[in-house]
Parts: sequence; C-alpha cells; structure tokens
Amino acid sequence: MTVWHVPGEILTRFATEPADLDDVTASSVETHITGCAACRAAVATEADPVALDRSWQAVVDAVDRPRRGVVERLLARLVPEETARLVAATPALRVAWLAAVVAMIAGAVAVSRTSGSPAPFLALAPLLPLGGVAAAFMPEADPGGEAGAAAPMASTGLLLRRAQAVVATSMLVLGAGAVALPDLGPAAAAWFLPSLLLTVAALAASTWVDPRRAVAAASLGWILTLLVASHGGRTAGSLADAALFAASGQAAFALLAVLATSVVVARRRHFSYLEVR
Amino acid sequence: MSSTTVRVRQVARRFGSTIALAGVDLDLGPGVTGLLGPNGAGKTTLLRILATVGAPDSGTVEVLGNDPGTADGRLAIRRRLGYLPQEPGFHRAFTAFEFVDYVAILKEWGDRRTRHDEVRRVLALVGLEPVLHKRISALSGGMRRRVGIAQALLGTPDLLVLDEPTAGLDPEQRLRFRELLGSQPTSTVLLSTHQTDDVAALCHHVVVLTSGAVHFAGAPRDLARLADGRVWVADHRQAGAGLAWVTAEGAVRHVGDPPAGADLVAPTIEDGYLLLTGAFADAPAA
Repeated sequence: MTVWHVPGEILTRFATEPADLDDVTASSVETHITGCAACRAAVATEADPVALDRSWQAVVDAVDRPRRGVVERLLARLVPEETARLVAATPALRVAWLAAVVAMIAGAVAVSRTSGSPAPFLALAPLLPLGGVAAAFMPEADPGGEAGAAAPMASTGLLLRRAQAVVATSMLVLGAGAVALPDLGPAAAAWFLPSLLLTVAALAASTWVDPRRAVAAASLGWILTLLVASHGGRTAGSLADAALFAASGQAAFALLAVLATSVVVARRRHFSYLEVR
Repeated sequence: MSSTTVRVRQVARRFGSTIALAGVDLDLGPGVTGLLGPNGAGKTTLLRILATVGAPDSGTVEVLGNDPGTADGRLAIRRRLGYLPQEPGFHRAFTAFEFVDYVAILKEWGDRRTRHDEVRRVLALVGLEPVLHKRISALSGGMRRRVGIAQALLGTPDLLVLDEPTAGLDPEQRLRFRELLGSQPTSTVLLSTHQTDDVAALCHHVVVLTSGAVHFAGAPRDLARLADGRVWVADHRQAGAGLAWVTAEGAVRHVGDPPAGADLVAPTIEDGYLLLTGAFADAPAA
C-alpha cells in the first residue's frame, strides 16, 4: 500500500506562509498532519522556531490561565486583570456571601412591609457593608493565606480597594432592597448616609486599633444609637420618624462621614498592624 | 559573617499569659541558618516577626536594612522576601498553579506571560509539574508543602524564611529539598526545623531557641562540640544519662554525665541539641 504524504512544497508553505494557501488545501493539510507523524515532524522542521515557540507559549498560557468567577470577570471590565483578581478574592464578594446579604436584605424588607414601616430595614442596612469590610480586612480569609500576607501588595491599598468594592456592592444591593420598601419617600434613602459613616468611621478607627475591633465598635455604636433614638417608648415603626433619619440626623451623618473620610486620608499610612493570629 | 541581613535586639512577645519570646538577640548573615528548638520555644513567632506578619511587643528588628514596624519598611522587606509559613492556609478551591499565581500577583508580578513563566519555573523546581492543575485539596500533605515552598521561591528572594519546610516530606523529597536549597542563589536563608540532620546537611550556622530565648548560636560543629565527653555507648542503660536509646546496632547510646571508664563516642549535632534542651540543659560539663 502506498502511503500518501503532503507534498514538500505545500508543506513548506503551510509551515511558513499559511495565509498563502487556499482554505481547502490548508484544511486538508491540517486534517492530514493530525494523523500522520511523518508530516507532523516535517512541519516542525520547516516552521520558524521563534513563531512556533510564540505559538506554543500562547497555548500554554491559555491552558494555565486561572479560572475566573463572575465577580472577577465583571471587575476585569473596570480595572486591570490582576487588580480584579485580588479584589474579587475578598470573601464579601463571593457568591455565597452576596447570597447571604441578599437574603438578609430580603428578610428586612419583608419585615418592613409587614410592619408598614421602613424602620427594620433602616436599622439593619448600615451593618451589612460593615460586615463586608470586616471580612475584607481579615487576613485569614485571603486566599493567599499567611504567605500572601507577607507579600508587598498585601497592604493598606489593597485592603482599601477591597473595602471600596464591598461597600459599592453592598450599596447596590441595599439600593435595590430600598425600592421594595412600603414607603418610597425620603426615609427609604435614609440608610445611605449612616451606612457610609459607619464604614468610613470603622476604617478611620482601623488606623489606631485592629480593624476587627474597629468594626465591632462601629456596630455597637450604631446599635446604641438606635436604642437611644428609640428611647421613651417609641415603637419600632416610629423609629423611622426619629431625628436620626430626618434631615437633621442625615446632615449630622454627612458631616461626620466627611470628618471620618479626612481622618482616613490623613492617616492612611497608619493602618494598624494586620497580624494573623 | 561578612554582613548582617537580620538584626534582632531584645525582642519580646507574649500571647496572654504565655511568653513566646523573652528578649531575643540575633544576628543573621548570608548563608543558611537553621533554627532549632522544642515545640513552643518561640520559633514560629520569631519567623513571623521577621516575615512582617507578626509584631513584637518590644525590642527592635531590622531586616535587610529595614524596620518592619513601619509601612515603608515592611514594603521594602516584602519585596525581597520569600516566606513559607508553618500553616500556609491554602484556599481549598485553588489549583497548585492558581495558588502560586495568586501569590505572584501579590508579589507584584504584573505581566501575565512573565508571571506564568515564573510560576511554572518554581513549581517545576519542587517537582510539581505533573499536578499543576490539580486542586490543592486533592494533593497530599507533602505536595502541599512543596506548593508552599514553590511560592516562597518566586522571584529568587534575597531572604528566605522557611518554617519547617521539610515537615511532611518523604525521605526522597527531603533530599531533593536539600539539593534545591543548595542550588538557590538566595543569599540568606533562615529555616526552622526539628530535623537535626537537615541542619547538619544544609546549615552553616545554627540557632537554638528554648523558652523564648537564644541558648546557642554558632556553627553546627560547635553545637555538636557542646556534647564532647558527654556521649557514650554501652550494652545496657547506665546511670548518669539524661537520655538513652538503643541504636540500630543494638548498643545503648547515652547523653549526660558519663560514668568512669565509659566508652565515649564522637557527639553529633543532635547530642549537643539534646544537652541544651533536655534534662541536662543546666548541668555543668563532666
């Protein structure tokens, strides 16, 4: 039996100038060499080694490229690929965490709708971004573990970028939840400034103390504020009418948020030592 | 030593009522230094401080000419550091390649192609090419240890801090690790271990830490010399020994205060270490 091989001239053109071949010939050669070791070897000797190496590296690179989750793919549209990978590693941006946040917000909205007041939602909302920020600052939760914690980019800058991403995501989810509140008046947006203040205040406090303590203190502060605001036999429903969520309270939140932001900016190099215990 | 890479002065650290480090003084220069000590001696605490992931309560630390207590100092150190923690804390869903790639991003390897080449290089160095894309959760303990070693080697750091790098490695892999470390251009290596034979094979300098303080710092042969005249063999256990065990040859090897006429033998690093840390730690030489 005579075994057919690709003629030398065609093989040379296939290896060096494939664009010069018509599609039918190129396809035929390609099909043949996948099953013919002799022609494959001949192509290898004809091909430009530099181009071959470049092509092989591209294949290896494509095979080795790590899988990307939904959040990382979305982030990669906004920031460089590497930044997206690091920011998306924040526990608070994982699907399970986001699902839990959505479930809590849905629960708060349901309670608010049942009671006819946005108060339960307004009370809970500021705590959710705080939880996300706490997770962003937990070195134990970073996929790099303690080895990653000793790397140059495991710095304040990365943690702040993660915190920003968490806060932005939480705010979007909270905003969506607020639309479902029974009253779409100004009170439905009264969660925004307290949320912002608590988060920035926790970041500011983290320049002095362990971030987890800072977040715990901010959460406690918010709960105490709610207790004081509801003092005097106010019902949960009337909490929404308290000064806290009225114009005066909102103005105070805005002012304090600006102050806390200026502290973060001024003391950004003093974030407390992030020790993995 | 020709130059000092790590300088530690009166470093103390406590966790609640437990004193981990009680005024450690240490100077390290180029070469491989072994850190020996019993469990709870403070080895990991000291390594974590040098790797900038732990902070001392008091004392001063200088690593590669920088102060890890400042943000700028930490950044400068981390850019020249390779660190293998005792418990790397691998992310379960990552493959070996993904984990090392993630750490490489944290180590400022921006260009993807170059970074992936480096990740493949270090994984090949530890012999993990066949399992690059296997999830870490599916790897054996020894393989995970090698993934940890691989990430520490990224970028050929100037200072390698390795916390029990040979724990979980089989004998062949331990030999390969010695070969690997011997071929690394990294100038200063500090490794903690419980394996005195690793120290004998790898280290030009050894530090023994007990109860949070340095009890010995010097050449491995000097550690062995501490047991000069205090190691003997006999065909049965004799009085005066702090420790005695039956060797593969069937003789009983003793470390302690030998009786008159004892058959003294040349001490090893392990003998010196046992004298420092064992029941005879404070006893005068015979």
